[in-house]
Amino acid sequence: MISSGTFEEEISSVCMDAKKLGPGLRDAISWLPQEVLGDILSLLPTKLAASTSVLSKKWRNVFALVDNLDLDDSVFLRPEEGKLRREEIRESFRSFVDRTLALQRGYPIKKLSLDYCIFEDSEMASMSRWICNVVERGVLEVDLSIWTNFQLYLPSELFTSKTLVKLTLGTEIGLGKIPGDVSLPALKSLFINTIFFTYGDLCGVLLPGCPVLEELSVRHVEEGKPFCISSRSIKKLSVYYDFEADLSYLGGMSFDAPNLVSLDYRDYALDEYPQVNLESLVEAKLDIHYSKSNKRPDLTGLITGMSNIETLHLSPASADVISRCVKHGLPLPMFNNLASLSFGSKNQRGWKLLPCLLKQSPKLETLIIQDLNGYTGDATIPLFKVKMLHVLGYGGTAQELQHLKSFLVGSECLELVRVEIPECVEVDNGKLLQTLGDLMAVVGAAASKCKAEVAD
Amino acid sequence: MSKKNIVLKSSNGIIFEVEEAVALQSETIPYMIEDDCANDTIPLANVTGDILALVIEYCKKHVVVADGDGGGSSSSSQEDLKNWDAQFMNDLDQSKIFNLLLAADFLNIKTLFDLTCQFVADTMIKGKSVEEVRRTLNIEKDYTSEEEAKARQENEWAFK
Repeated sequence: MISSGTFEEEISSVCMDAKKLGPGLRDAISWLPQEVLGDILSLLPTKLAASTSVLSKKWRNVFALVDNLDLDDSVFLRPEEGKLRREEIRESFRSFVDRTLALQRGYPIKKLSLDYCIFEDSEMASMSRWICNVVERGVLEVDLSIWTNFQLYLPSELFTSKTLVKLTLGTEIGLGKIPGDVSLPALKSLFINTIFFTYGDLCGVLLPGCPVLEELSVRHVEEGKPFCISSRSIKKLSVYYDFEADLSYLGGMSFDAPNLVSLDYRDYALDEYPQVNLESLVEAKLDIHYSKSNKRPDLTGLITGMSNIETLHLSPASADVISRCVKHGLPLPMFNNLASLSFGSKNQRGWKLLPCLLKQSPKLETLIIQDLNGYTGDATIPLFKVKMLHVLGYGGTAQELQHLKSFLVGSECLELVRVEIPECVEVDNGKLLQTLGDLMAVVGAAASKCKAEVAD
Repeated sequence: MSKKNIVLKSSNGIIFEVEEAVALQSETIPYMIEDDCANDTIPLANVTGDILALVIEYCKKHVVVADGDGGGSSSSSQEDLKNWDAQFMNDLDQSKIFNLLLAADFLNIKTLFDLTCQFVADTMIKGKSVEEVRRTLNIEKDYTSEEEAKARQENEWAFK
């Protein structure tokens, strides 16, 4: 066992003027260096951090040492307060932020998160002042959740920050014209949640000013979504559009991102995808839904533009809508590099797509079936070169086993069949062995060298 | 290949011999080696033996295994590490936690420093009233009532 110095020695070696109180009554924390206290308080919402100012005299301004300002003025979420009271709280919020920034002077700052409602011009001016303050101090990350009915004007300083690495903008705001000279040389991640840009601002002004942007996420849950994403540098893109209205007036959606590696795309199927430049794409996850207001979508541009991919994930909705398009003349391209396909389907139409996809994918080695229960069994699925068949959500029922059996016909290359029992299904060892036994009987009959695995 | 060991000496003279990779999770120790401040033994004047033992326990657990297939740690072992970290912190009493925090700061072991700060923030401050924080941390209220009222007034919003 290792012996140690006494508690008193430890304390006094760090803080000579620690108050000499009896053991057990000693102040446990206040002797730490102020910067360390600032680091601890940086992990808390700034409101809570500031409430430590009344602990003792020493703590009065410690909270101002935080390098992470997490400010939330969601009074509108407090309907129980009367209007006058809310006015008063908003006023005290503004003076709190002004005072805290004044206390912090020029100290470096890492992050500003601001949840803020704007009802008056003066409140917009306050917000601009705060943003300029943190930009001047070299902020790395800014997360703005602004609620307003006004058109929002963000200060030009935010768009010319030399240090900003991550920017998040939300939500449901109309953004005034962005200054033309955007220059964000350090920005790597940009997250946009339902922002209405002035026409052309996203692809024509903002994105061209972000030369090292790697990750872009565009979420839009109302009308007026951006219909083009264009960036030469992004590697990872997530587009989440969830608004089903009268789509007939919408032209389509374009992707011009020659260095994009990973795409996650959720939308309703559109009329056209006029420009899809995704030559470096390696993996894609598609969740495209059929909409009754656009009965004849055309996915040709999108599917053809992604034909170089190696890993593809298709949701049941996507399988359905692509299958519809194939029926109406969409030519499926060859997927010459596709090695892994995750496929989901809940209807007959969707399952009809799988054999067509397999035929166009000569190098496919891994096939993941998201759920066998939806399998309709009337589409013959030749597994060709597939080496690994992976079935998720496997319940081990006789029907599923039957489906699996029909899958395995003509699968000479298969080396491994693996089924995964979902967490919600209770399994004991007996059931597990039974499932494995059933599986091996079916698999062994189809491909003698193939192994079977059950995972729970 | 034999692994190089580093000898660390606590403020109260306890000697620890650890593998280089374990010690190098501290960003301070490499400078001390370069400075050659004591040919073989590195003296850590700010860290007592019991705290240094904890630091080493943490660093041994978190040393990235460079051999093997070079893949670093897998996601499941990340999960294991998280659980281990939580247990490690839970087993410590308050004075050890704060001394560990200072040691991690002095030795510049970022993940241990962050872990300890997070633990203090989550368990000793979050979800507690001012009076509860004072009690938890034995902070003596040295404000008069008027002074406290004034301090509240200064950051009024924090108490709304």
